[in-house]
Amino acid sequence: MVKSTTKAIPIIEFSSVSFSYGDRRIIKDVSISLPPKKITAIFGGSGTGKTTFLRLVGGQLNPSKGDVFFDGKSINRMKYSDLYSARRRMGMLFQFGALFTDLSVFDNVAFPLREHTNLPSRLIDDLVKMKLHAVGLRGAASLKTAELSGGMARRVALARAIALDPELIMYDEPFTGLDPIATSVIANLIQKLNSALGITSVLVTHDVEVSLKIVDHCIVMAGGEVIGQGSPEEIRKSHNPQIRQFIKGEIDGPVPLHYPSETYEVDLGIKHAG
Amino acid sequence: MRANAFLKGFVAIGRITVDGVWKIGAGTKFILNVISRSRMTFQRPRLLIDEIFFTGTLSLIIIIVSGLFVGLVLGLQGYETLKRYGSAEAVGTLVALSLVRELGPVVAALLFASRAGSAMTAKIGIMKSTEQLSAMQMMAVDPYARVVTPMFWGGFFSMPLLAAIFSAMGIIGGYLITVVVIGVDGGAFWSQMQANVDFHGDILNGIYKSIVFGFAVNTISLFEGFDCVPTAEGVSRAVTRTVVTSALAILALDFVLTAFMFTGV
Amino acid sequence: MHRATVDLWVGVFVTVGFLGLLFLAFKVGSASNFSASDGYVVTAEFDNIGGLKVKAPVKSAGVVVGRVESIVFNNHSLRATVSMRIGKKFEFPKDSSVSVLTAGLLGEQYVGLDGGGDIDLLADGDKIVLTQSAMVLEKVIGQFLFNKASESGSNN
Repeated sequence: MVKSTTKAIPIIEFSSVSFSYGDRRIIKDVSISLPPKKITAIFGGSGTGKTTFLRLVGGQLNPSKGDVFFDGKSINRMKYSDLYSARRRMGMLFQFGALFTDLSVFDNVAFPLREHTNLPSRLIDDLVKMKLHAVGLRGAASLKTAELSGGMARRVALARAIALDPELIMYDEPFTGLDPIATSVIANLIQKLNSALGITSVLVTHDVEVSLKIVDHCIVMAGGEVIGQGSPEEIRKSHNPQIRQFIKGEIDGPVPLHYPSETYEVDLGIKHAG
Repeated sequence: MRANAFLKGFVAIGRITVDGVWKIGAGTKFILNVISRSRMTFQRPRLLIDEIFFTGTLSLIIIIVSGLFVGLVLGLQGYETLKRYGSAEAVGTLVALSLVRELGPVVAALLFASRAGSAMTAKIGIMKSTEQLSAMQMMAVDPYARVVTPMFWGGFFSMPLLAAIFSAMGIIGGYLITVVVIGVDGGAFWSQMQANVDFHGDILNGIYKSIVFGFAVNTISLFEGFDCVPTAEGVSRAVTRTVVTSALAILALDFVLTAFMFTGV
Repeated sequence: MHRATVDLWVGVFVTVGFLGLLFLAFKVGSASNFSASDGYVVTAEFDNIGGLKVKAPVKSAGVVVGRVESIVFNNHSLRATVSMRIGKKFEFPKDSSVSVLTAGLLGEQYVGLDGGGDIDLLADGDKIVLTQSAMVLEKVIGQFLFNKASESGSNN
């Protein structure tokens, strides 16, 4: 296993966290911390509990064991009102943007400002234009969300996520379903926002190639467990066969192609189960 | 084999019962949750006005047109029957009582369920399946207080008004067909109606009915939306369930309320 | 849609809704005459009320002035005690009389109230002494036949 590269106080820390849906264990005894003001990527195949990870940070799910700490306080033990004030310090970019379909681009970005502040509308106007400018969509303010392409929708969602100047921003599969140009645009934005605003960023993704170019730290998950972490170079050079399989995209390896089952012969009724 | 089929039957009955009980419990908890977060709705009337527009104003046309036609039919049928007994003037009473007591609240609620109720379910369901509700939570905005509760109150205030409009339009429809077209005496039409329709016993009870129906339809619609499987198919199924469950609830509640209100002893 | 447009249409909807309610209250119903709690209650005892029902109208000179509020059987007098709520604005002398009547040959039954000549007026809780029972069709026919029979008997 590769060692972590940072020493500063982590903004997010998991201490032996487990999570299960009924009998299915999604996350098994995970202890990790995210370095502040850096971009961290969490890699893992589909169904390895990456999105669950983000929902645990946001307090939308509670771990069945262990604690998730945000800035030193346990998210899952917070009172309702404390949880809501913690969430104001987080931003989240959902997989497909999750823009409010009945609002315009402008109103989407203005939404968190209008809900949480009593700013005069002139000021909100300026703030929204600044946020939209940051993602390069100031000209699209009056469009409806249905008129946006996938990449544009995600940029608007990003502008909305940074509207309240969060300290932590989470990206759920930011590159899924985008063309190469849109992918680079988003990757570039993630980097720019991180350095310009000093935000801690977490990417949950299975898009290894793009991510390795922009992140500072990587965590690789498989089967609900952390199988390795380190800087992009360390991950690239890793000798762990599971990590190598994931990075190179091989079909079968330590991560099996087949879902656990009875042997093929038993399933087809040729042999009887022992 | 037959024993097996019996067993399956029992299993099915058991599952339906468990599901039903679960739904009633979860629905009750849901609606209490919704109502307990009403503060924002009344602090920001803007939210309420938007939802009254969404549930009430957008249902106005269908309510007016249906009310008018139901009144026309009632007038025509009532006249044909009452004429045989030489009391065609009583057609006003017939039209008014049937509308104010039963058809107004019930048919308006059925139309409301299929127009506004299904739209509420679809809206909540789509917001859920596209993670808009989740996104709202992550922006530290309570989706109940911000989205669901205003819808509930919007529908709650719209329903009795829609029922009143339906009844009024129906009576106007009855007047048009019997007095203007057929030529029943207009004075008798109105006076017989006024002598026999009681404000408390008939009109207010009809309004109470529509308030109860509105509460039921809103609860069902919003709960089905919130509870749906977050996929396109899940949303469409939830919409269907809203219309079916609402219709059954309206008719069953109508029976219970009528038994309480109009069996005058 | 524009804010102002939404406001306008919500305004239209609410106005139409309340117009509908007013229409039902004043044009369709009889809210103007009396309400459940408005007015005074008088009672009367009848030998036979026929098919009189609770909520049946009380009419004087053909005008609805009140409604039957309750009908109970009096164990001591073996008669029916009918209480009627009379609208506040209607005043009747103390010696008024009531009778159970039928609207038309087969219509609904109602209470007819005929004013007397007393100076004192009926007040809440008063009892009307002069009553006339409902006309029961069988009895009327029976009496008619009896009269006919005795008539033809005396003629002979």
